[in-house]
Amino acid sequence: MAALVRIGALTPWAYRSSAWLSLGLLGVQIGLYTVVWRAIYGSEPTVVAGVDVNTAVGYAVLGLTMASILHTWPGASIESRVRDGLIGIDLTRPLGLLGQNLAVQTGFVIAALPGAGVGVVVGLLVGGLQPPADIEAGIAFAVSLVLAFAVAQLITLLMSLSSFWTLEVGGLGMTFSVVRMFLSGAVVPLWFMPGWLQGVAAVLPFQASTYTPLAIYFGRPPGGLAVALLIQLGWIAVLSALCALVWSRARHRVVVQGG
Amino acid sequence: MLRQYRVLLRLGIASATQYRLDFVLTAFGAVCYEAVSLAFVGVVVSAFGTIGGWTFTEIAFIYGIRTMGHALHSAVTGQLWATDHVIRDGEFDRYLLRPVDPLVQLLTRRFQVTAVGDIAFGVAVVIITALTAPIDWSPWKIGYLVAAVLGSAFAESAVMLGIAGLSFRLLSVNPLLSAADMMFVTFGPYPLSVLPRAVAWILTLVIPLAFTAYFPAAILLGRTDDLYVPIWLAVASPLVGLLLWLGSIRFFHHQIRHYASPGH
Repeated sequence: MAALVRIGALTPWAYRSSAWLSLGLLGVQIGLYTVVWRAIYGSEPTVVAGVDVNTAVGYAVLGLTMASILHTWPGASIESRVRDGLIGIDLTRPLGLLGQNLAVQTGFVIAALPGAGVGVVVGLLVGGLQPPADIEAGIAFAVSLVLAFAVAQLITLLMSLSSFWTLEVGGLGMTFSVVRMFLSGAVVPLWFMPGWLQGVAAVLPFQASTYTPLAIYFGRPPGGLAVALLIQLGWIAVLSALCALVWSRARHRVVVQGG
Repeated sequence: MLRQYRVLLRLGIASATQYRLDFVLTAFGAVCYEAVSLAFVGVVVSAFGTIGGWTFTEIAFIYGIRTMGHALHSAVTGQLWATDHVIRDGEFDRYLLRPVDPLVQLLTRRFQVTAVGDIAFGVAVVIITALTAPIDWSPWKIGYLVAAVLGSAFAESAVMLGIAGLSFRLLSVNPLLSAADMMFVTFGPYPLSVLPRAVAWILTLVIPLAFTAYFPAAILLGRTDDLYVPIWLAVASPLVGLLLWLGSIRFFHHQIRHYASPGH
């Protein structure tokens, strides 16, 4: 399993210039959103949804950075193995496939960690780095971040499993990627969203993969700290069960097709 | 050149629609990508009321022009994203051997799968936002809106073709294309008068984003006080777009002489 993590960590960097430029794009994106948020707030010190411009900018810096590291692409491993027929070998190890993919995805997350450096540097340059609301918030943030990592990877894994049906993650992957970006709170903090949209986000796992730790960091855990963390744990359980269920169905499907 | 384009385009459509499900999903995905920037504006306006005095329907109108323009650009010149690949893999050699303009061949190499979704979405958005915007429509204004959309497509195309043209020398320009695309998508819907003036100027002179939607929208909405350029220049946005586009095509053709085949 450690070997798979290593593979996942090294693969994105095999295409070195592409990896560096992704980091560059992250920096550009952070800069753009900082400008946009400051323009939105205008020149007078205002507070909207209980939040001032510094928090909004700080959230953008931290949120975009986190998303770039945690939001792994679902097409990365299962899809190509289904297409190339290598999936037959994976089938001989029942739960192994899920574990294998989580390992590779973890590697991808590790590969993306330099994004944190970009976030810090650009954040400093634009004056957008914000400390956590208080020490407890900082510690709770760290805990929530680990849970968010798990939720994020399980979501990606579930999406990857769809390639057993669609053969290509492609089009579905684009939609997924956009919906995830938006409803996870990476683009807009969920506290700005109208009530009904927050309701939609609350019943989906994306929030638990990005927004929850961010909100905790800025002192506004959704539903209170205990509830927020419990919800994350809940999603880990639900998503794990769903992945196991979908995987057992997928295996059946491949066998039936005589593959 | 136009007839060659039509023939090749028809072939591309036929091959792409064979993968029907992925076709639909990709079209939907592309629409979602564009829609997110409007959703972002929508959420912000619902929380903040206005952005710099611009209401949601007015900002949506800017967005509508830019989205339709982007859809046209993507449908016609979207394949320029493959320029890196085409040059690195030597596919460009084949273009040079055929009696068809290489740029036309590049742009028609595959059917732009996202075009259908983009255009359907763009038409819907521009019509809806035009109807809800506080504008008294007249035939002249409708004509200007059409010109503005075309100018928007030309301007965005010009930037992207210009960057793609650099591929002959730089060999890897997709990240630059992504950065430019990100600027267009992120700042596209905004009334640029709201941003710090330095940023607004960058988005006018360095990347002609202002010409793609903000200027014509401000003209049609009668918000000429929000312009930071002379009115005649804002009105001439479609023409600026066209001129830039013609220039970028010439630039691209000029850059071809820097092509060094990888020899595959």
